[in-house]
Amino acid sequence: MSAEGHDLREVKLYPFAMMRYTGQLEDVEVPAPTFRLESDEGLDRLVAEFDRIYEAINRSVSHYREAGHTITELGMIARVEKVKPKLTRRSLEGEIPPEEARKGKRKMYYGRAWVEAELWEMDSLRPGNRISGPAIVEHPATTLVIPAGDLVWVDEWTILHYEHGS
Amino acid sequence: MVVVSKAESEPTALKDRLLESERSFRESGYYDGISDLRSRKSDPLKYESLHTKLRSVVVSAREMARRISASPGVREVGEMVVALYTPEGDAISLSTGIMVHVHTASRFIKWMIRNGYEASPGIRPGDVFANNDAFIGTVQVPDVIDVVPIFHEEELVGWVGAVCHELEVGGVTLGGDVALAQERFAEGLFVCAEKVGENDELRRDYQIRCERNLRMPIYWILDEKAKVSACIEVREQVKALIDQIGLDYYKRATKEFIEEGRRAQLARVRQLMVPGRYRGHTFYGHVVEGKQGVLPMGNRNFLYAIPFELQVSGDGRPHLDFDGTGSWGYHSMNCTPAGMDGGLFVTLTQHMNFDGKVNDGVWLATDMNLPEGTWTNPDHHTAATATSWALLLPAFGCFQRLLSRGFLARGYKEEVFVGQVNSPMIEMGGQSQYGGIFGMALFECAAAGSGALGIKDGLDTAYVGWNPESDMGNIEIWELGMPMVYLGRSITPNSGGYGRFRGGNSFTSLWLVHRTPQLIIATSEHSSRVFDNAGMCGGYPAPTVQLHYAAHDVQLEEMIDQRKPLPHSLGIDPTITDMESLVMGRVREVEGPYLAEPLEEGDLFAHSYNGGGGYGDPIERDPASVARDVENGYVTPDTAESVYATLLNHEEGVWSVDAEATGERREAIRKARLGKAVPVRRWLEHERERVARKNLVDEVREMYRDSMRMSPRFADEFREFWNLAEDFEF
Repeated sequence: MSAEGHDLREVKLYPFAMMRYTGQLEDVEVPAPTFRLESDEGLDRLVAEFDRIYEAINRSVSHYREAGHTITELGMIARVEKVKPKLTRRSLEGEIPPEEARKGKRKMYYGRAWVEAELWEMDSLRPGNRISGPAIVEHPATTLVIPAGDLVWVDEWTILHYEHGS
Repeated sequence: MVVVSKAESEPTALKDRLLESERSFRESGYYDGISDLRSRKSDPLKYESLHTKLRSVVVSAREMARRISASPGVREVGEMVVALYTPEGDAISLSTGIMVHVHTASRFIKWMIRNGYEASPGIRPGDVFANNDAFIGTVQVPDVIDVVPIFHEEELVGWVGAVCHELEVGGVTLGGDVALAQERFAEGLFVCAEKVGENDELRRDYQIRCERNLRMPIYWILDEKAKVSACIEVREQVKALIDQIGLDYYKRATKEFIEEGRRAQLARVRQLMVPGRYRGHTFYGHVVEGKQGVLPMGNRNFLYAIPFELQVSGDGRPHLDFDGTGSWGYHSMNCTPAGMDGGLFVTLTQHMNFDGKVNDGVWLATDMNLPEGTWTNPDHHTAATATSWALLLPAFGCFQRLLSRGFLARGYKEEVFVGQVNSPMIEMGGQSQYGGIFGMALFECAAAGSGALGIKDGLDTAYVGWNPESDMGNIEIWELGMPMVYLGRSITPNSGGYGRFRGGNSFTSLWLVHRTPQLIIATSEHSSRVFDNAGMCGGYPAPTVQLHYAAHDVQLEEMIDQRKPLPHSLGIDPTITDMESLVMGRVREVEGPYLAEPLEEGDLFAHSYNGGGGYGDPIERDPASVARDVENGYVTPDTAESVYATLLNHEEGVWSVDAEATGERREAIRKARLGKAVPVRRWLEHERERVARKNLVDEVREMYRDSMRMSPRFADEFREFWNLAEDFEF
């Protein structure tokens, strides 16, 4: 989280346990009252919290404390306000993407036919660039397929706009 | 003059209502005398909206309950149903799942009302009643039903019921379907319409009874809690709905749903069927003689005849008649009228009434003759019913084929369905992998192969008659519950009945027994030596699973060290299984129910499930479909040639059809059939000689003797058909 730019003092930690009555097949997520279970009393509090949540979800008749309780997992939720993305307005450049964005060509099967598609790197596109299909725009997290007739253009905020051809 | 005080008259109020409702149906022909669907007419949106809400309430309550259960049968396979009833016990709306039980729970509620439960033990808000006695209202001992009453202020306005199939019932053999029970007394824990809870809690003394009389009480008890939670959830939501729409509207509309369901069922039959008499026949073979644990009373092999007659009246009312079937016996396959209702209901809801108002109106639009003393209606409540599906499924599979003949006659070919077959159950117990004792039904049988349809192949590994939500469950979850690990779970080649459209294929599992000194397995509900279900229009019957394989002294570790191939299925060689050809130890082959010596750590066990029957002549099957089946392991290459008359070329893993050779082979088979054919009259004369001389194997002779003894009509028809003397008997 600190690598993503969060102030660690702002991060709040919530411990939880995944629990069930021994023998059941589904867990209930139970917020743990403490980070360390160091006493019978701490464990009793966790178990009581499970019983409370379990009965709230499943109605009181469904408890079966006689079977005993099982903790299948311990976990922690770390919560912090998200860093809001900052959009930067840039001046528009030419319609043709820069050479470094160009990755060559490859065959693309679309609409029951093989076509030759231009291959682009998404991170290297500049504001103002326009790409007409058939083309494929690659990114480490996604792949944008543009069939023939469709168009993608990058606006001054570096947001991609997809337009279907008529 | 007798003055009846309010206090004295009240305890019979419900019984009077039940009798009144039955009387008005009898006299008017309409459910509860409702001749006019006025709520539906006056505001159809309000009416349909209530129906949809009630249905979503029961469906979501079932999903909630599945999270509470400890049973893979309920959580994984969905062996559960939740339904809403009128005060008299008629089903209004039901969830998905084991819809078999809609009318069985209905019988249970009516039984309590008829037997004076209002007076004692009393029916009060917060009460919970449970039952698993099939003679009161369920199918078999593992089907435990819970019901709770719904009160609006002081008035009982309905019931909610829930059923789970238990994986362990504490019977003489381990698991839920108690294979070796010959009488009620060996079937396990019975709860006979008992009040098991008060004030929305299950009584602790009832739980103690369960904890002390079951091998795996966690399954039963948490299922009880799951069911009661679901019932309370539905009850509270229904009460909230009544507060919104008013009690009078709720009562009227819910009764109209049932009357509409009744009319819809009749209309559907009129639309899909041709009135008249349909007859069919099916059989069931039970090979147990001399097996371990079989008590003297039932120590013989049974062959059951199930002649089936269906009369469809002009107004769309089917009448099912089991006259001529065999007597109940000292085995666990008997069925009660409640169980037969279950078979009827689940067949009709899947086969005919799947898109309408599925409720007890369907039941009111049908009737059955279940001759007293036969397996369909034992005249003694001590008869065991723990594996009643064994006979029930073949019977209602036959019903499906008779319905399908009607559909075919009307031109609804796409509705034709060859029907359901048994899918064998594995029950087991002994010492668990954790060191304690255990018992469990391995419910993966809930995903067998279906019968073929009139226009396409049956479903592969995705169908079972009793639960339309067919699911085999995850291997990993089953392995948590039993001391066996899977070496394989694979499609069984040739397990779909051959046909122009083949039956759905089933699967075979092969396990390594793991971390136990004693694992006892008992299987049930698979017919031996005879097919328990036929094909249609020239299709082959559903193959029946006959053999089990257990390997002892396997020395698997040595095989692994030597990098020898391990068996993962039974293989495709019809003359020898992989279990026999690959394993070094002693392989035991058991015909019919596996009732044999216990297994232990290191042993292997293989069990196959059933596929469905085929439709149409297999030599009319599209050859490309045969090639595809061979390529995917559904059909073996030798069967493609010998049964489907399809000649294939095989090159680099790709199978292609030799069209010319296939055409020639098919033509040759047609000619050969003509060459072999004899006139029916001559064939009958030949067969008559055998019958007249009683030259039949013992089981067949006994089967006919029993049917003739049980039914004078059957006996007369038998003598007339075979032209036998009037006093002929076996």
